[in-house]
Amino acid sequence: MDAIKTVNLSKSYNNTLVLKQLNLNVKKGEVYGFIGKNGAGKTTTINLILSLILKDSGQVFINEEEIKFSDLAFKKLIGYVPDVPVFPSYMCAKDYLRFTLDIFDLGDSMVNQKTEEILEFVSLPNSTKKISSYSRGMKQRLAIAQALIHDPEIIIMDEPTSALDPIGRNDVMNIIYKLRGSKTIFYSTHILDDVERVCDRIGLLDDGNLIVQDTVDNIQKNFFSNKFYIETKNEPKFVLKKIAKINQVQNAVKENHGIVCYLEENTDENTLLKKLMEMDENIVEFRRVKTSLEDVFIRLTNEKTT
Amino acid sequence: MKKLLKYDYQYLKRTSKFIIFPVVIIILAVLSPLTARYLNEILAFSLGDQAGMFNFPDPVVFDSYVEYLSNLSDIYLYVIIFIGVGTFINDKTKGLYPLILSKPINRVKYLLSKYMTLSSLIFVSLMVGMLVFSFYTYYIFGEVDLLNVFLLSLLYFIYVELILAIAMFSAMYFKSYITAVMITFAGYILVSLINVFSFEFLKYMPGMISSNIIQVISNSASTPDVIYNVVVTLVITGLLVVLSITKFKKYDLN
Repeated sequence: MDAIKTVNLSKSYNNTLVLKQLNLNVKKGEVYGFIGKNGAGKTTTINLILSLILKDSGQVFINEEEIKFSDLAFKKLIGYVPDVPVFPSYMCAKDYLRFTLDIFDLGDSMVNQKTEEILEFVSLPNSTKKISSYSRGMKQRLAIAQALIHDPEIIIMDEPTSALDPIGRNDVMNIIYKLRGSKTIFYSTHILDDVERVCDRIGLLDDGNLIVQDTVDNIQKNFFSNKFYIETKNEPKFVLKKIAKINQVQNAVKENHGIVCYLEENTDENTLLKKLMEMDENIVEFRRVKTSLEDVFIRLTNEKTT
Repeated sequence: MKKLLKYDYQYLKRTSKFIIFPVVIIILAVLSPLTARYLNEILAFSLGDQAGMFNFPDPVVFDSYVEYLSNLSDIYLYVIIFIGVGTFINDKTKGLYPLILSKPINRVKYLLSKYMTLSSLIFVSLMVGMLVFSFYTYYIFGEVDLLNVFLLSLLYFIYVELILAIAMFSAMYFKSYITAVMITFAGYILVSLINVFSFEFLKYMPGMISSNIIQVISNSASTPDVIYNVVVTLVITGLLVVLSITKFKKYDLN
């Protein structure tokens, strides 16, 4: 079952199409990483899913039910963490969480217990300090707390770590990691290390187009997995010259004591090995290098623009 | 709706707006009878020897009512415009909308709650002002017509409802606080300017409320005219509220 689905979703600003017939689906219970460069259309997609902006065309489904701009019921199923959360400056964390519970009709006798539990979960001190005095990281943790307090099925996060320092980022990632498996998480970012760490599937958005959508493993396997590390007894700089001349090698660079090269898509490693033997190279190490998501991202987005 | 009202009251309370409305009106309620009673004496004193050239009539209780109404129509309305626009536009300009509108909050109720909160706070302040003003007027002039003061406050409150509706309308249609305040002031001036013209068809327009209040407290008002004036004002207020709600229902964060 799809928790979130968009069908041919389009949006334009000032006659510029920023989201082009987007078709994505987020399965129930998975952590979906929505990645793309700045300006790719990630926030626009999230705003459309949440009915914060009006779409030009297309449909949005939450739990298989189509939503309209004025619908409210689906919002009970969602917890939203914006990229830059802004709270009423006169409130403290507890006030805001109480307000959220009230809005979701959950303002019962358990309010205090619920707010204390959630503040503990996101490691925020339960103080009466006004939110206006919070650091960026604390505000982000409060944003996560208010998104979780009504126990929603779906959490939508818009670049929750983009402006945080490494410690704040790690804290937020740990929270997402703790939620894995219990919630559907739709998480937009351009920090690919985070995606590799927590996401089950990813969607890569580039210039308003979803150019790939699959599991992290499949993407690494299917896209650009022909990356090899070769070390011979010969000096790397000489080996590099030889390897660069092989027709099936797309790109080769010196790395540590060996060479990292990319083979053409339909070429297998045996061809490369055979060529190296023919060159009388004594191979010390020959292995396939696991492609990072960053490689995939850079190559896919570059491929499209070149 | 109850929950939204609760949080809107909390907002007014914690941002000291809750105290501004009654405090300002108490000051005006105290100053108005004092000014009405002693203005002539102050003028005579400041003119010195030349004072004899002018004939200052003895102040009467009616002067106190007029002074109070005049202060309400100027100073107090400015306070209402500045705070009113701020209350309606604050969530937009401060960037609070993404978190608010991502929650299951009915937009109609959201807006009406703000309008009702402000209206009720101003109404209570007016009632407090009415009591203080009546007490001071009685203390200084030895007489006061409570019914007249109540009618003055009530008719003025209807005018305030219109100004609040203009403030809400401006806050919905414009992005910055300053622009919305300027538009609200423009609306207020436009409404007041109608007083200048004496066309028959304009006599029920909202700008005539002040004239009607004066006539009511001087017991010279035509009751049907006052009723039509109130009805037209309320209809225009309702129209502005509906237009604001329509705009907000389709409000797009971009």
